[in-house]
Formats: sequence, structure tokens, C-alpha cells
Amino acid sequence: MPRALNKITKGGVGYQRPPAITASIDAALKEDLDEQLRRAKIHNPSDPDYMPSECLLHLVREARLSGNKRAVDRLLPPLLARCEVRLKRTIPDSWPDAEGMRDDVLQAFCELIARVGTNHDATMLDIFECKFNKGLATLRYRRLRKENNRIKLFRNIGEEVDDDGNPVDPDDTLSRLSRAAQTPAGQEDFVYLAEMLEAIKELPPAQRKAVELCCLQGYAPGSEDPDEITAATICGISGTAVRKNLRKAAEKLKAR
Amino acid sequence: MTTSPATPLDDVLHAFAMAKAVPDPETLEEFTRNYPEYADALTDFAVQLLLDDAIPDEAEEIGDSETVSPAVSRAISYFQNAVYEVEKKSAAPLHSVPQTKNLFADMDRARFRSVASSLHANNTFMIKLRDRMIEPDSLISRTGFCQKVAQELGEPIDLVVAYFKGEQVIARGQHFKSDEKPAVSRRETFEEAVRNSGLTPEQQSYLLGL
Repeated sequence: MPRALNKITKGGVGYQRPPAITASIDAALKEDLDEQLRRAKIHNPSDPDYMPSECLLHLVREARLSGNKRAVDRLLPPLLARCEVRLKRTIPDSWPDAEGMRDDVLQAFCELIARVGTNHDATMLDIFECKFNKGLATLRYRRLRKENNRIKLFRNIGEEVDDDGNPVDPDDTLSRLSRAAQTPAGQEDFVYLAEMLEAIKELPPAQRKAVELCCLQGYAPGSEDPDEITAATICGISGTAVRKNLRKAAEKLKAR
Repeated sequence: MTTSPATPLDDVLHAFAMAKAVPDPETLEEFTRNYPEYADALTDFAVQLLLDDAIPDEAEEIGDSETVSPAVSRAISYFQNAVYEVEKKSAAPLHSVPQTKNLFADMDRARFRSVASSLHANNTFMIKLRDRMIEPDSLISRTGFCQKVAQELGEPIDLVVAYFKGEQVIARGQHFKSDEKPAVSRRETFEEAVRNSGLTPEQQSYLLGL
């Protein structure tokens, strides 16, 4: 059995890893470092040898606790690489100083790992061993709170027009969605967003991708600047095609 | 869950994140009611979690697994500096542990047993506390337990936490029957210590519930 987690809730209940994570850690602890490293480098969750990030973090923590510097040095880079990929999706390049923000979050994560095995409190890592992405989301949120005005990071969808000069979102459907995705938010935004995200799942893939990139992540549909990363460059299609997808998505979301 | 203005924001956010796979309006309302001082932060965070859930991991975005990106390289460098810093800071208090007041030093046997009884514990568990055989992180994160110990000992909680954080020591004046020099053993977590001290189920339940 893996070492018990230390963090407890106010109700006195200790954090518990999901059973699948516990089983994965049990299996990984029986493997040698080379095998652990091989699996740590697999990034496809559907690969049968894929090691969950929760499990990989546990191995790094154990290595820190036992003073196994070699294991830390080898397992930490693939763990950080996974964090970087996740952060690239949640702090997209379209935001000002996105790279700096991602660096800050990675550093906050590294600082927690550095605390393991010392007298400093490292129990904040416990959530990462239960739900890794949620732990990372917490660090990201704390960093974004410093910005205090995320609205500046989003392109105003309401200003987007198609090649004929017609607005792609005449009924403000996507604009409202985009505003709800920006902080600071109100509770009504949260309720609206929860409903809309369910509806977005029903959209065809191309339209869904366009909405995700432009309304939830803040990318511009396209740009005259060839160096700017936009939804068009990410999807490998023209800005016109992205705007068409947005228009179709807006009509479907409005009709629901 | 109880209302507590002293609960750190991070703890509240973590509890909220762990409450549901995907946050829902009912959970958000419950948390904002219990932690009104964090209502805005919780709402913003709830939106972040929703968006996070809507943006799945995509395996095809990963590049060559043998190379380290500049961002990861910077993070590793930061990690190494952070390790150096925290270990340097850790060294100082550890060296000064003998100067930290020993909370158990002046206790006679009757007082020792009395405190054990007040804590719903036994002598074995008390000895683990006294000899710092329990991982500090797992102890100090149990604020309810630390407060109870402070109350029973009549000492400030800061002093109790500082004592628990101290370096594990081998009790002097004890006799050891061994061919090898006695050494400190791996510390148990709080939960392991509770489970492995011969406490009754009721005592275990009480201590783990603090």
C-alpha cells in the first residue's frame, strides 16, 4: 500500500486516492527505476503502460522522502513535461505573457516538491495525488488571481465579422459564453457556463474546437499577422473557416 | 464542514475541488455559504474548474520525450535552487531543536498518564509523540489534534507545533540491547501511529476525528 496522505478536511476525513490510482502506485512501486522512467515518458492515456500523473508524482515524492536523488533527477523532468503540456492548454499562447505565467505555475509546483522531506509543509501536494489536474488548476488559479483582470486576455468575439462584414455572433450567444469564461465571474455566470459547456459537447468537432479555442481559451479566430497564434493556425485552417464554424455554433447554441 | 474564518483559502479551494468531479451550482452555493469571505474566489475558481474539465488532455500534442523543453529546463533549475533554499532553512531549526522547550521533560509518570487519558490515547502513543516518531507534516496538518494537545499540556499551540517539527531523537538514559548502535527509525504518519499503538477502535476514531 502506498504511504497514506496527510491532508485532512475540516471534517476530519483524510484525503483518499481513487482506488485506480492506489492500484497504479502499488504496481509502480514494484518496478525498477528504468521501467518507471519508461512509463513516465508515455503521454498517451490510452496506452496500457501509461502511468497516471498522480502515480508519477507519488514516485517523485517517495524518492524525495527517501533521499533517492537519482530517482528524483530522472523522474522529475517527465512529470514537469506533463505539467507544461497541460498548462499550454489552459494558459494559451494567445494570452499576454503566457509563457511567464506558465513558468510561475511550474515554479510553484517545484517549490512544493522541494519541500518534501524537509520541515516545511508539503501537504498541498496531496490533492495532486488524488486529482492531478485539479491540483494544477489550483496553482494556476492562484497565479491568475494576481492578474485580477482576465477579461483583457480574451478577444471580443462580438467584434468578429465574416468576409462580407456580417457579425459572426449577431445574437451575442458566443460573446456571453466568452464573458462567462472570464474572471472575475458571478454565480449566474457559473450556472450559465455549466449549461453551455454541456451543450458545446453536442456540437460537431470542428465547431466545438472553434468555440473552445475562441470562447474558452481566448484565441482570436484568425489574424493578419502570420506570427500570431490563432485558432486558425492551431487547427490548420483559414480564419474564414473558423469564423464560419463559430457562426454555425452560435446558431445551434442559440436555438437550444 | 464547519464555518471557520481562519481556514486558509488554499484549503477551501482544495476541498471544493475534491467535493465533486465537476463542480455544480449546489456545491458552489454550499461552499459560498460556509465560507462567505471566499465567495468571489470560490466562484472564480468554480469557473476555472469547469473550463479545466472542458479542456481535455490531448496525447498528440507531446513532442519528443527524450528532449527537455526550455520551460522544463528552467523549472528544474528553479527546483534545484528551491531544494537548496529549503534544506538550508531546515538545517537551522533542526540544529536548534535541543533549545526548543521539551514539552514532556517535566512530566512525572502520573501527569504523563493523565495527559494520555485526556487525549483518549495510551502510553505507547504518547511515547511516539514525545520521541517525535511521527512525521511532522502529518501531525501539524491535524490542527484539531494539535490544539487538543496544546490545551491538555497548557502550552501555546505554536510551541506544540515547533516541538513536533523537531528532529527525531534517541532517548538518552535508556538501555538498548543490540549489537549495533541504535539509530532513528522511519517515522510513522499520524494515521499509522494511531493504528499501530494498541489503541481501542473508539480511541482511534476519536484521535482521527480531531
